[in-house]
Amino acid sequence: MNKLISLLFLIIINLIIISAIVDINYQSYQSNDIIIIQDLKENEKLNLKNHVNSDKIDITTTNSADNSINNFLISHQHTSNFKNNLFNDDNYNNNIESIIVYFNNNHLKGKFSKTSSKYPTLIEPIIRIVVNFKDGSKEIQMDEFSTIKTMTFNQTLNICKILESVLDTSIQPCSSNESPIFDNLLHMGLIPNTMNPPYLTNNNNNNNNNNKDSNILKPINDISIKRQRIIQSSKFNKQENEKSYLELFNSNSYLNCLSIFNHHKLCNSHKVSYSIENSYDQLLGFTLTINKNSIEFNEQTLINTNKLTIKYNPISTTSTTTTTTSTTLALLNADKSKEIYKLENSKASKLDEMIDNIETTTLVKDGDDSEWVILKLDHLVKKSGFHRELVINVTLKSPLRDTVPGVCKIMVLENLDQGIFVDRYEVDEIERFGGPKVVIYQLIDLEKPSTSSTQNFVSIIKQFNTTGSATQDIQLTLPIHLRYQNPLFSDNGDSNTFRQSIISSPQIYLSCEPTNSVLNNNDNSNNDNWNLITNYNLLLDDISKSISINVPVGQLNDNDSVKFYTLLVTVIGSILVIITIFITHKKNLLQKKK
Amino acid sequence: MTRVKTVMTNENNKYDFIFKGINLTKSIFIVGLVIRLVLIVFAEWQDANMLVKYTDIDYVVYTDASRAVVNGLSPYDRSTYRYTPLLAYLLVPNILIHPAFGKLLFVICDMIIAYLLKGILLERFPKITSRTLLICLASWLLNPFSINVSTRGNAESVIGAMVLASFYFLTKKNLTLASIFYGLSVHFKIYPIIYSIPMYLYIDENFFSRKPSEYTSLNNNFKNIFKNFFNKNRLKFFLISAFTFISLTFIMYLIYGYIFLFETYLYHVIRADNRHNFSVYFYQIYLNTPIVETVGDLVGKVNGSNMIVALASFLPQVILLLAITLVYFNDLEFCLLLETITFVAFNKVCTVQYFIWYYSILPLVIPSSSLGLVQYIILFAVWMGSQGLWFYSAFNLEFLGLQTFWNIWVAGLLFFIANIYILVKLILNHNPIKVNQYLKSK
Repeated sequence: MNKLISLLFLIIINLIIISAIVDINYQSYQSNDIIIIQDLKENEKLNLKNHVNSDKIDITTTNSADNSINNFLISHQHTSNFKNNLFNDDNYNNNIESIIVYFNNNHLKGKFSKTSSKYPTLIEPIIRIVVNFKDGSKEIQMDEFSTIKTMTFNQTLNICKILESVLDTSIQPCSSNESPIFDNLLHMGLIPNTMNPPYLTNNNNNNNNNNKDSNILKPINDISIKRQRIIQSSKFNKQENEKSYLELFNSNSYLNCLSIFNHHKLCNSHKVSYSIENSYDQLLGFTLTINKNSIEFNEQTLINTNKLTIKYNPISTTSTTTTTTSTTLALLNADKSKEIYKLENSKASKLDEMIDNIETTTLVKDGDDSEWVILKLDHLVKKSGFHRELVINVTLKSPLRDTVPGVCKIMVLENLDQGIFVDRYEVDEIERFGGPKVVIYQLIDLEKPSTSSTQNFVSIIKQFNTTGSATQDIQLTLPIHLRYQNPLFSDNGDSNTFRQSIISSPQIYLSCEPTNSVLNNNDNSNNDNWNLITNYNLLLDDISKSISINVPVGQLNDNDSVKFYTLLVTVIGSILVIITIFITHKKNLLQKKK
Repeated sequence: MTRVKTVMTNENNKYDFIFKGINLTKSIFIVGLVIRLVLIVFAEWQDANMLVKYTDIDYVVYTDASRAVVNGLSPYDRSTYRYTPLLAYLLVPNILIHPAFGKLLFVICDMIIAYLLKGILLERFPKITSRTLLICLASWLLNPFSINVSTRGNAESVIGAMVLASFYFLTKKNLTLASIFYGLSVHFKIYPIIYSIPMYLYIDENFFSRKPSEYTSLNNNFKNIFKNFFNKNRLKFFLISAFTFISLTFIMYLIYGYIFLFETYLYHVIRADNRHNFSVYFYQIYLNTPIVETVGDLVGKVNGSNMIVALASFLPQVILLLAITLVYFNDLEFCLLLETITFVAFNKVCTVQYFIWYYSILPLVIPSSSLGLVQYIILFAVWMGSQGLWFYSAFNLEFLGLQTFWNIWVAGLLFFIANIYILVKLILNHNPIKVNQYLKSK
């Protein structure tokens, strides 16, 4: 009987899995590339040189004669359009709007000392997956009463399959092996749209400058805000070596074939037509957006060289369908003058008209005296066991300008994995006793084990006075609780079995709006204009990376003996009492007769 | 009627224990009340001035739920509110009058319990000495557990009062009120459902003619149980209590929907909490939590033996509950106590607040037990001692982060064995004969 049930179960499971396999046809009918080369040195101009009888184009600067090394910032934007539906329209995935893979590698140990709008400087590299759903989808629904639930297994599997086929790497839950890069997608949490995922900045440099809605801070109980699913990971950083991100995935993956910094030896027809011959000094990041009928890709690198070479790679003619491609090259001088070229085969011809969709990356120089600087950042966990305290010590240096208001607010945005949660009732009570304000962006279940929980973002906000001293020491504490995790087999029979929970390094924001109402009204926090601080002046050794917490878990090696002795004790106990009852009862009846 | 009442008052006075001119039976009510009131005031002070609260987190949950009700919202907007909305309604004065109102209500329920205990004891054991009665009442009114629970703001005394009210009206031969209170208590918290069978059997066809003091387990006739399984009195009890329960539950369902059913009842039934608790089954449940991390886990193993284990851990409890019911249903107070201890000891989840369920019934058993003070102290020490070991291991896990699951499991086994020992001791020292002798003397 049991075998029959398990057989049926297996068949059903297999049917589910087979139906969930996503087979994407990556044959686009139209693709469009824009390469933007930005010179970071002042008083220089970029020059373009077409080679005769060659498939290469050189970019140099006016001062290149002295062979000095220039810093080039290269941005590449790619768009492919498809006639087929990339999400394979069927029952459970037709409510996906887009899937975004975002990698920000502009971190403190990197060579780039500036911050760009898409890839602001972070303490450590971070990868995020964001999934957008249509309005009203149950995946992003958050009822007033219920806590956030994980996505259904099937929907997660779907997203996982699409990602696997694009990235060519194994991801849980569609692969059994733990990915060195991604966390299990079953733990995707919810984040409000207003936080502007995946960037989690105000992106003030972009067009949505005056958009008041683009505000990081929104209270948890406002369920009217649209939300997106998000999962963040920084665990690949443990390897410590500054390898190229291309090595994170297979070099012939769809993603890598879109990169102009790859060499495309293994790519088939779906590759970009141009590549940069120079190897980059740092990848700042990439963003891959998969929509229903299009894929958008953006990457940004830093190359220090005196000559950039763009190589033309003709697409093999074996492909059956015709793809219209167009490539535009934009040269941005330090004085903000632009030159636009159209690339055809190996020739670049200058265009007179302006193209609107060329996004200029505004750069902020690190260590600028006119901005706030983080001088010190300690990020540590105190206490032991399941109830701990996250302590953040920040030392800030105020900017050298007169316009700093007397009161500012600091916000520390923390990413807690599915094994950690914050009790909103507890932090509300602490706030009533004068503690910091804590904003939780999704309803958190206080009792679930980590298996059925999601990652979550939490921010801690504290007000401070800027007057008196140029540097401010601010300490924030957040009580955190650990969830039970799944039990574990220990191979060496060691009884100390633990699993890990991870708190990523935080992002720190400031709001110094010259509002008079800061002190009067606490409820106006919705109008705060939070700006991410990207200026760090830290010793590299002081960098607080993600924190890993050991959580004791049950040992599966004990399972059989636990089962046996539990059963034995309970059965014997029960029998013992029953025997006592009947013997005593008999005895009492006999006494009565006497 | 008036005549009976005067006789009752005289008899009540007869049971008062006078020591050096002081009526201790009356004083103990006052002392119990004063201790509780002082602690409520102290709790207010500590909560206002210290981050470590005296008040239980559950009380905060109730109050939040009441606040939601006052604001026209659902009490289930407060996560972890797992009670009937009636409780949130009862505590609405927490928001409108004073946050300590609920505690006062729970303390009043404590006093009602004591009053009901006295009433039941006098009906059940008319020959009880004033000294024994005083001890019985003191074991509730001065019980540190019951004092602590009510003043920290746990609603268990409300349910306890309902269960005892039901019992009280059974002894007063008011079947309608007994049934209504029983239905209400099950609506409030699902666990009194285990009392349904013994109560049902207790109400036989001679229910109205037989005095409470004439019931004894020694007169059980197993054949009669089944022969007259459906009699008028039993059906009345069943219909009224079921009507009370179902109508209340249905009204709440109409107002709050599925979330009410889930949080109040289903959650407790399907609850397989894998976090550490006193339950003997805790580690087994935790280690056998189905792990579904990837597709491979779905295909991997389908474990049929888990079903057998689940059944094997369910049967001992059911059989034992049945045995207790069939032998002791006519010693109803003893039966309810054994059932409660058994239910808690064998439950899949067991936390400290469950222990409160014993204490409101225990005083009813003292007169028919030959256990002396020393033996009660020994039993209590065994019970507390096994808990102490558990607390030590749980502290190491929860607050020091040590891997002590094995120790917690062993402590859980010992606690279970302690419960079995207590059950055996109670059964061995239970004297249904006393009731019998009383019968003969009539």
